[in-house]
Amino acid sequence: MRLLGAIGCVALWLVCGSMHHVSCQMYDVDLTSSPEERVLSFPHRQIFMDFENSTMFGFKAHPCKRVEFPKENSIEGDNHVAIEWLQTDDCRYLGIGFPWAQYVGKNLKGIEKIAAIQFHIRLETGSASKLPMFFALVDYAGKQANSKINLINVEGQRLDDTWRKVVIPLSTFKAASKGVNLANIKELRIEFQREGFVHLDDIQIVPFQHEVKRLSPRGSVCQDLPIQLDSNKLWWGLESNTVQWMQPSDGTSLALNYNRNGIDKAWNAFGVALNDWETLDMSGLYSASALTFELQGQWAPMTVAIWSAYGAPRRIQQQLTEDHCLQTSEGVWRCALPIKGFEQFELFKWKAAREVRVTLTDDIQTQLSKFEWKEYRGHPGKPMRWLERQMR
Amino acid sequence: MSKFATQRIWLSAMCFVAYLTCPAQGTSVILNSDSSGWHLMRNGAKHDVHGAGAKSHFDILENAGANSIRLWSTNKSALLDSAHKRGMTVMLGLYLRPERTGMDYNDEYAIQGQLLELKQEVLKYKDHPALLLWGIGNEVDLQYTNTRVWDAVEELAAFIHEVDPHHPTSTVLAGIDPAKIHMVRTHCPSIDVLGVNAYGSIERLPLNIRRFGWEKPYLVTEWGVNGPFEAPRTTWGAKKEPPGGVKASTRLRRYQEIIAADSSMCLGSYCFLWGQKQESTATWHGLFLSDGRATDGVDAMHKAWRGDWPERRAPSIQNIRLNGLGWRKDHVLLPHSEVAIDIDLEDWGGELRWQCALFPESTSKKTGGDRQQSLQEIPTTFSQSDEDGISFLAPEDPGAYRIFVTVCRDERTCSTANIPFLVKR
Repeated sequence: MRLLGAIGCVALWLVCGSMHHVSCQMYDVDLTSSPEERVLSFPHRQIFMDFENSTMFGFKAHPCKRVEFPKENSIEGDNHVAIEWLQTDDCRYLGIGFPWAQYVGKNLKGIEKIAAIQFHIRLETGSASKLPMFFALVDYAGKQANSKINLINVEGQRLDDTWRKVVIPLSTFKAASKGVNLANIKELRIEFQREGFVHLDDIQIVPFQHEVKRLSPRGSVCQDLPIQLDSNKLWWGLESNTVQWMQPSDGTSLALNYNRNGIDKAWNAFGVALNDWETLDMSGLYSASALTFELQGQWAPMTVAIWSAYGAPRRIQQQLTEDHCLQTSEGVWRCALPIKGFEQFELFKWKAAREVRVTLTDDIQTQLSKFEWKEYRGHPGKPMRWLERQMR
Repeated sequence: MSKFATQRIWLSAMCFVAYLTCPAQGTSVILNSDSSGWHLMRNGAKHDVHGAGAKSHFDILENAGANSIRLWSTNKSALLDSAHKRGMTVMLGLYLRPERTGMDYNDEYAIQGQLLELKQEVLKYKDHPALLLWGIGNEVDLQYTNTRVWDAVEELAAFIHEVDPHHPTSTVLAGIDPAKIHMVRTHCPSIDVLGVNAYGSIERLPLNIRRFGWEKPYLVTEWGVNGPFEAPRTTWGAKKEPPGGVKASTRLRRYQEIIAADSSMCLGSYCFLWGQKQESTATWHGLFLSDGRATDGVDAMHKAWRGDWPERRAPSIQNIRLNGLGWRKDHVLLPHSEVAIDIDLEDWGGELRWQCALFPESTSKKTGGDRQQSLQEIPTTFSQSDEDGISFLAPEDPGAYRIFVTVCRDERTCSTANIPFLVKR
């Protein structure tokens, strides 16, 4: 494999000599050895050692930034970088850069998960828990991916006026998600914000195993219907006299007693969380479903809305009309609100459904029970027919 | 040993050292409740928060009757000293990166690094005598999708309770809804006070706080006039900003009828913004102009906090018109056409001066008060058209613009108004 690669490399070098740096990038790292060996065999590990032996830009005098190379108290080489900056409206961008290894295109792809940029840092004075400085890997297309100092990876987990070793894992730059070509990196940039005064030295690439621990997302997927909207769910708006459980022990029937001119007139809305206020992915089921319930006592219009956790529209709603309800006996109505009857239902973020909310718009004294989100196989504009079929 | 374990040991050591070496030099702030409701007690005395989001103009703030400022982060910690010198308290923000800025609350490395930084900030400032309470995160709920952010809020709040029992904790929401209230109630039991940033939604805030089930006290941590995100728009999408006088009246009414009126649960408020910032326009939220002059909004806050108006009141623009049509209308103009501006002004004496300025319309799509770039003024000649009005020539280039009028009394206190307009052939 290595022999073939070497032959390929020589052949490419012969064919297009001027491109030899690029054609050999795939062999910057020996992929057959241990992770540590692979990083240590990377030919362009040293990013900054001292001014004389490094490639750097952004060190010229600037009204908002002063860069010097003091000899005393350096970690590596003859000197180190000292940067003092103060960001103002006149100088929004402040930075320095290291197109290390004489601008060669560096291939960090093979070591992204096993290496880090390591450097030493100290503040001129005092201590800080964070510094307004960002690190960017820039490719030859000009795209850049940023990362920053994480206190977890600072020696002693503090920043002060003594040299402390810092590592920034390459994987934290998340190059792929920023469209940065990690196989052809031009430079490392350090950008500064607000104000500060730091000393930097011995910037290099080192082996580093970054512990990636990702937490699983919350929220769940609705696998099947019906969803019972009863007292086992979390509700809001039931603290007034307007809306209460008929019998707390039962938890399936709500007493609605709303007077538009009463003292509780503002308490005209209540809602129920579909999944303990986390998102519930209804995208697989919503299109053939409806919200259904029974009214006992009195029929009155009301607004029923479905809310999502994010996206636009956040809310879709439908006004309950007599066309949604079938009177089954004296003072009893069975109602269905097909989801496809909600305006803008196609635009709603069904992956993030969160709440069903009812707003009382008229005086009402009734009992709302058997509230469910259930399967609906009928014409979205003709719920009455579907209700009749259900009664048979 | 894992990094997280090392981090815990280090923090424990820091806490122990802090405990041994820094006996509480600061103040003690606690929450009390009695039959009249919740109270914030500072060193045993009731401390109703008459506050502002302020970084400057402390003389005027003190004179207006304020007793507290809100800082969104520890970046400008010198302001704690500035506040303390004037006997003011500080709601100190601990800046938790919101998801909308790229923070991933499923990424344990990023979360723990951030918490480690902020815990160090807590240890650094917990004994500052100006500290009133902690504000953990600002609007982390705005456009968020990951409710794990509340675990981070709770971890910090619990840490604060452990190392700083003398100051309550709060977290600040971008308005409320039932889900957010549930999340804070159940995921953040160590949060003592709910902070709510409410602009248009302040009108129903006391009702919604109760309807959505919040039972602890709350602070209105940002409030003012309706924000640009709530404003009516022209047909070309420009936001209509009410004139300074209308905004000042709105502020005063909201303070008196909503904030001060809900004394059983509301501990006070921080008005937004005791300063100036670009948010759609340069004048929307700020109570000061970019050159530092106070507006009629400052007088409204003086009246709100002290109960009386300042001796030398600023002029107050109640309406602004372009070619006779008010600020609520859409204004479409021909290129290079002559345009007359006039205003309705309430004035209280002194020498009054007008100033006009033309700007391109802002195209920023930033949200949540995120930083927006200031715009460059378009050089324009304005001439006196009659006794009450000024005229100018509309720009030659089609596009969206905004004209600003500023009226100042004795060059010191001012009122502003603006109208967006479209130049169309």
